Parts: sequence; C-alpha cells; structure tokens
Amino acid sequence: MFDLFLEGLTSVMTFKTILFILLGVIMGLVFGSIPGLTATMAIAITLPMTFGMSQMDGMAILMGLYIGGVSGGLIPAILLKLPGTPSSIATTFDGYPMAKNGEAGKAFGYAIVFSFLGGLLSIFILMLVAPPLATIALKFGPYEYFAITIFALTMISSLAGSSLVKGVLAGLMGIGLAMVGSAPIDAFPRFTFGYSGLDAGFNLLPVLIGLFAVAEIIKASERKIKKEKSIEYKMKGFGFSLVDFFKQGWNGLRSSIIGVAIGILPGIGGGTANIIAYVTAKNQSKTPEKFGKGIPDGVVASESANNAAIGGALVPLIALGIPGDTVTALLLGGLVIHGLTPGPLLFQDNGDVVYGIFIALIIANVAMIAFLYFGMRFFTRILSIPKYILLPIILVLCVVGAIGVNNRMFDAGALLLFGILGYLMLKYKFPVAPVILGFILGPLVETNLRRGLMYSQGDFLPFLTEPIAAVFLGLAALSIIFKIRDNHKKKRKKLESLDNTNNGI
Amino acid sequence: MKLVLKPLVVLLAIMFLTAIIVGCSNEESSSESTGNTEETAEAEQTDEAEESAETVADEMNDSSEDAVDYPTEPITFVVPAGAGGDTDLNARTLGKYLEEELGQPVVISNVTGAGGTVGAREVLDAEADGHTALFFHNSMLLNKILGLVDFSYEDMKLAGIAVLDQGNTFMVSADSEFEDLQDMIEFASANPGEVSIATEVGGFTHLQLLALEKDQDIELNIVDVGGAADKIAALLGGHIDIVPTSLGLVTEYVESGDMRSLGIMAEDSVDLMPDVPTFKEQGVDSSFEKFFFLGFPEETPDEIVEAFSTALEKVVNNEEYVAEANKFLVSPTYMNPQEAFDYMQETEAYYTELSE
Amino acid sequence: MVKKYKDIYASVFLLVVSVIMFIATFSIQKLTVSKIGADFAPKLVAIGIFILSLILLINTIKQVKNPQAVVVDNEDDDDEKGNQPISKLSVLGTLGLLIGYVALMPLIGFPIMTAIYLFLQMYLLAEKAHRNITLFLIISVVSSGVIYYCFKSIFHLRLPSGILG
Repeated sequence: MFDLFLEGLTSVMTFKTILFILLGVIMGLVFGSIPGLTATMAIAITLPMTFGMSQMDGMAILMGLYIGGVSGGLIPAILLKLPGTPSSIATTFDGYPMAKNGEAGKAFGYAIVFSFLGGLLSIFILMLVAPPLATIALKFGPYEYFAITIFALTMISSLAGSSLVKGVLAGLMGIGLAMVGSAPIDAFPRFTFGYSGLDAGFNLLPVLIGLFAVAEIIKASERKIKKEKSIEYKMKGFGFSLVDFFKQGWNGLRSSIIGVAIGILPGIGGGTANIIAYVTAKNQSKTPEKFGKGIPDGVVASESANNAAIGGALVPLIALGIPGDTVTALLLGGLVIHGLTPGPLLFQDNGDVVYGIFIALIIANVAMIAFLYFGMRFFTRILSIPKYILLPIILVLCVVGAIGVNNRMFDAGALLLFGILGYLMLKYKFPVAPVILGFILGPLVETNLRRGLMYSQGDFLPFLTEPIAAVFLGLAALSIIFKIRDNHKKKRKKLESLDNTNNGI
Repeated sequence: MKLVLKPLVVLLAIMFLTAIIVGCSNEESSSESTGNTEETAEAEQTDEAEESAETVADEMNDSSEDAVDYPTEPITFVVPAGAGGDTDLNARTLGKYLEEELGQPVVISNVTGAGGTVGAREVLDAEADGHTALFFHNSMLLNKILGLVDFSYEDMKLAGIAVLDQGNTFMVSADSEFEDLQDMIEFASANPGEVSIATEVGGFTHLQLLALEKDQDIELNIVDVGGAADKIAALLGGHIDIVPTSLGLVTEYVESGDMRSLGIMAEDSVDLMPDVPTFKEQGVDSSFEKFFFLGFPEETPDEIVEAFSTALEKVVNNEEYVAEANKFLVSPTYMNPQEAFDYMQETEAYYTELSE
Repeated sequence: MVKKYKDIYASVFLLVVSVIMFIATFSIQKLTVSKIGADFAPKLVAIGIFILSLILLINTIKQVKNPQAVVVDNEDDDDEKGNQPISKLSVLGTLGLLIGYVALMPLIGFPIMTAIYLFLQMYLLAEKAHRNITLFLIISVVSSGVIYYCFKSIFHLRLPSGILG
C-alpha cells in the first residue's frame, strides 16, 4: 500500500497537476458559493473539457471541483442566509444568526475548519477501509433502505420549530410534492393533471433554491433596502480558541461519521447529511433551545457532515464502481472515459491512479481551507455591495442554475413556484427544512417499500424480521414516542407557568 | 399610479436602449466589414480585382459547404438518461469523434426523467435546424408500446443508427447454483416464482424477461431494483439471483470473479465476446439487440439530416472510434435513415407482439 | 393576533389541497398485479395532510376562543428592520417581475430579459435616495452580458437566445 501511495504521490506532485487541483478548487468554490450553481453542475460542465487531459490531470481537476463545490456553499449560507448548495442548508440555520450577531468571522472560522476536518476524516476512511465499508453498504437492500429512510424522516419532528403539527405538515407537503411526475417502478403519471411537462416531476435543485433562496429574495422586497453601513467584522485567526475547538471535538466527529455513513448509502446524499447531523447535534445538545439562534455547534455539525459525505460517496464508487448520487455518477463517467473502469479491480489494476485520486483529494482539501481562510475578509466585503444590487443578480444566477439542471425552461418556472411557496410558508410560519427532507426521503421510502414487496412477493414481514431494518424501524418508533412525550411535557410546563402567572394576577 | 408608471417608462427606455445597442453593434460590424473591403479595394487599386476577389470568395463558400450551411453552431445531443450510464457514455464517445468530423462542438445534454420521455419530447419540440439531436435507444419504442407517450420514432427524422450492443446478458453471482441457462430454466419450471430476477419495469430488460417467460413457459419473480448501477449493487449484495444487463457494464466484475454470465441474447456468437454462449445455443429462442439511434425534429430539412448522417457514417467507419467503442463491448454499426427506420419498425412489431 | 387567523387560512387551504389530492389519486393508473400500487402512498399522504391540518384548525380555533391559554409566541420575527412597514405592493411588484422574467424569456431571450429584469428589480428594491439609474443600467447590461456569455459560449448551457439569436 505504501508503494502505491508513493506512486500516487509522484504522479500528482507535478506542477501541472497541482495547478489543475487548485483551479478545480477555485472554480468549485465559485460554483458552490453561488446559490443555484452546484458542484454537480461544475463537474458536468468541466467533464468534457477533461477529455483531452491525462488521466491524472482530469481526475485532479474533478476532485478539486467536488471539494470546492461542496465547501463553497458555506459562504452565502452564513452571510446571506442563502444556501449555496443543497449541502449547506443547515449551515444557514445558525451561520446566518451568528453573522447577524456580528460573529460572521467566528462562524466562518468554525465552518472552514470543520469542513476541512470532516473532509479529511472521510478521505482517510476512504483510503483505509473503503472495500469493507462498501461491502457492508451492499448488504442494504430495500428493507433496510425503507427502515433507514423512515428513521431519517422522523428527524422532521426535530426541525419543526414551534409547532410540531406544522413541521409534520411541511414534511408531508415535501413528500407530496415529490410525488408529482412518474411514479417509481411503474412510471404511471401522478398529479400531472395531463400536463406532460410535469412528467418528470420537480427536480431537487429548483425546489431547494426556490424555497430557500428565491423566497428570501421575495421577502427582502417587502421593504425598500437602504444602503447598509458595511460592518467591520473582527477576524483574528479562525476566531475561536483551542478550548472552543475541543468543545466542538465530539460534535464534529459525530457529524463527520454521520456524513460518511449517509454518503456511503447510495441515493440519500449530501443534501440530507447536513440536516441530519444538525438535528442530531441539536437533540444531543444540553442547550437545544440555543439552536437556530446562532450557536457554533450548528455550523460545526452541518459543515463537518457535508464535507464528510464526499469521502463517503466515493467509497462505493471507488471500491465497487457504484455511484451513489449525481456527482459520483458524473465522476464514474469521467473515470470510464479516461479508460479506468471503477470496480473491484480498480485498486489492483490502477492502484497508482486511485492513490493519485486520494492525494488529489487531500491537496484539494488543504487548498480549500487555505483559499477560504485567506478569502474570508474578501467574502465579508461582498456584503458591502448593496443588497438591492446583489439579490437580483443572485436571482438571475439561480434561474441559470435551474435551467442548467436538466436543460429545460420548465425548471425555471418550478424555481419561481417554489420561491412563492417558500415565501408563503415564511409568512404563515411554517418551517421550510422539513419540506426538503420529505422531498428527498419520501420517494426513497415509497420506492423501497414497493421494491421490498416485489422481493417478498407481497409479504410485509421481512421489513420487521430483517435485523438491520428492524433496528432502524425500532429507532424510528422510539424517536416518535420521545418526541410526543417531549411535546406534552413542554405544553404542560407552559400551561403551568401560565397558570402561575394568572394566579399571580 | 406613479409606482406603476415609472417602471413602465423605464422598461420602454431599456427596450429602446437595447434596440439601439443591438442596432449599433450590427452597424458597426457591417461598417467594419465594408471598411475592410474598401481598404483592400484601395490597395488593389482596380475595380476588376475587387470583383474577381468577390467571385473567388463566393466560389470558395459554395464548394466548401455543399449547398447547406451546416452546422453553424454547437450541436446538442439530448441524452434522456443520467450522466455516467451506458447511453451517456456512448453518446459522449460518439460525440467526441463527430466533433472532428463536423467541425463544431458536440454538447451532451442529459435530460432525465419519466423513462426518457422528457428528453425525447424536448427534442421533438426543439428548433428543427439540425443543432439539437436525440441520442436514445430501444426505450423509445417501449415508451410508446406501454402507452407512456403517444409519439415514437415515426414522429422524428431519423439520422441513423450508430451503435449496436449485442451483449445483452443474464448475470449471476460467482457462487450461484446456476451453471448455465438451462440450469436456471429447469429450476424455475420446478419452482415457479422462486428465481428472483432484476429489471426496471417497462424497460428493455423487462421485455427480455417477458420473452423468456413466454418462450420457456416459466414463472420468474420479476423485481424492480432500479438502474444499471443499482442492479450491480443488488447482485453483489446478494439480494437477487439474476441480473439482466449489458455485458460491457460488468466486464470488471467478471474479471474479478464476482459475477458470471449465463449467456447473451444474440443471434450468433459475437466477435467481441467469443467465449460467451448465446441463448440460442442453450435452447432459448430469444435475441435482443440494444440499438442507439440519432434523430432530429420532424421538420428538419432533409439536406441537413443527410449532411449529419454522412458525417455519422464516416465516424462509425473510423477505426479509432471503433476501437474505443469496442472497449465497452459495443459494436459501432451504421444504418442510414431508411435502414434505421425499417430496422426500428421491425423491432417495434416484435416488441408489440411480446408485450401483449 | 393576526398569526392565529393566518393559521386558520393555512389549515383550511391545506384541507382543500388534501381533498383535491385524494380525489386526484383515483385517476392514477395501477397495475392489477401489485398489492401496493402507484396510488397507495399518495392516498396516505393526502390523508395525513387532511388529519394534521384538521388538528391545526381545531387547535387554532380553540386558541382564538380561549385567548388566555395562548402560549405567547416569542419566536422573534427575525428580520424586523426598524419600523418600516411591509409594502405589499413591492412584494407583488417583485412577483410580477419574476413571473414576467421567466415567462418572456423563451420568447425574448435570456440576455435582454435579464437586463430588463435586473434593472427593474434593482429599481424596485432600492430606497429612493439610492436609485442611481445610470449605475443600475450599466450593472444590468454588463452582468446580463457576462452571465450569458459565460454560460452560453464557455459552458454551452442552453439558455434561450430569443430575438437576438
């Protein structure tokens, strides 16, 4: 292994290859930081340009793009409350409040350092234990997927905010919206009302960017915007002490592990990893009430999980040739076009390239933290551009990104529709994050339920008797019971305190 | 009122402005070009020289672009399948070589959704100028047969078939009890519904299974597991007994000893995979070919389709391209628009018969 | 106080949506062979939305009738910037601009529509004192051109060129 590592190292350590990695990271950061443009799009656009390059150079730039694209999302998430990519939704929850409290520098510091650490951890996991991990992931069939997604859906309850009912309603709306289009498996159209444009349903990106970014922009138009005084953010180092860092150690580690685990399971992906890590951090925290008001723990959880999902998603790709999401599917295409067939023999036949990829990932990760660290001052200066100029331009880029998803104007329309929906939800005080969770997980639940029933020829029992599935369904049940009990307790407390005050009067 | 009026005025103002800008840029370019000719004319000093120069230029234009001026901009291949799959891969490989032939970039645009119908519809509705083409396969026929859409290849102008994939195979994991196809069929007829076999409902492989069930009068447990990558995962994970797929997608697993092929559904043994027995040799009368075709919107001028098809033929006969495609075990095969139409018509009839 | 009525509107709206959803599920085709067809999950979701919005409605009505039990919602309205009132007209203007922008783009084309949209949106968003027409014009035209050029010519994205094409 060490030989291969060295071989990989020498193949990457050329001036040109490193330049390509840096180029990839920068371009990735740009795409990631613009809401509407994502790592997927950056890779899709760049892929054809790599055909003329050598294997290693091509892979170098793609890995740079992947790391940069996922990391760039934290910039607008913290500064503008607009998630740059699906992976940084949860970063907005606490990153933006921190910035509003004048702690943008600190939020950046945490986000950048833990992005780096989460990414690094996942790369090491990828290097050291990819094959056995991938084999475990293979054991997950429809029963297991069904159970695990049901469990993940129960996370909605913790994202609900003040009203559990509204949170669950929002989640159901997400599931319902995902049903528009062709049904899984038999492809019968649902809720298309005869309009063929809806056959493919809604794409995740317009839904997400619409609900989060466009809705925020519409909201901003409620009031005339004045030129704001540019706030000088204090920035010293990463903005936090070593003690602070160690306080976040366990949170960061746990979130990274969640990120890797979700990344490995094909289909669930980075868009949910950050939310689930955030919810877990909140549930495990001693001060859950501080979440959403600008607590570093939230930023740490989200950012370490989304970068850790990168290494996770590469595990089944490198070890077995099975892509888990759109980005890795593109990377698979890239590998094949460069004459490499990912699969069980990749390590054996092209060990040097595989290790080259690992090293390129590590370099890209280092480049990412360096660029972001030195760029921090520059990013906060974006805020000195008046918002009435910044927001319309961001909106145009959202539209471009939406069209780019599937090369259809339809998605631009969908983007608007969801922007309006998101705005109404803000106004009527419905939480938005559960919609996304429902939208991503709902179809997985349904597909795997129906697949499982095809396997068992109509028998429901295996969902409960398969051990992994049973464990997750049990966890889901527990999580619901706890939440309901919690809710009751809270209500009683509130009522009691009300009674007391009433008696006092 | 004012609030409404103002933007309107501004809107008008902008429209004017853009109109002026556009107009100016046109004028500029045209005046520039005339300026150039004037200069040359002055340099030549004679009117005759100028005239002859013009005629030469005209002739050059004529001879170089055989009547049609095509392509004038990048050509988009709409691929109604995700990036990274075999359709995408074939489109990209072909596109790379067509680019050289046509002298314009070929851009792959993945338009996924609803079994490929979204992408196909996109091309039908596209501008019929030969710069948007559909790159698709058998599912075009199936989507119509299954009633998902009401259009098919007849509603397009075919540019031809470019690639055939004859490696449609049944894969089992290496430790499977089925040594060959007959083993499986015997077991299946003794235990109806016991053998689980993967497919995508309504997809190409589904049809293969229906054909097998009909031909051998057996009952299989047909399970939807998703796309090509999901099928590989399901087989490697031991969730399913048999996976029908394309041999080119699983060579790696055959070499590594994780999977075995039960045979391919080809008429005769295929040169690219000489060691693999055909279904026919094993007593099962079922043969399937996956074909990849290119089509344009119906109103596309014939000359353009012809020009494209000629380029396509050249590429398909390009040894370099053939060698690269053979690596994924597919055979570049050129059929001109008429041949392609006949081929697809024949295939459609066969599929319709099977799915009834 | 307003908030409670809002919840009533929302829950009634969702009730209607769930009923429409449920009715629409009956037109979903299904294969006779499979136990759980394409209409199963949509029905379940429709029923779920119905029940929950009913709960929301009942809870809210209870609260309206019995204001004492109202738990004070101290969820802060985060972006309350000063006392400036919300301008519905401005929101409607933005919505109109957005819809016009996307609807006209296939006809008129990305570059022109983007420039128009950018300019009007900036004009609409900015405080009167900051309305700098020349600056807005330059920014709109330049950014529209740059974005169009980048994505169309370098990245080959299929942005509609419209009347310019």
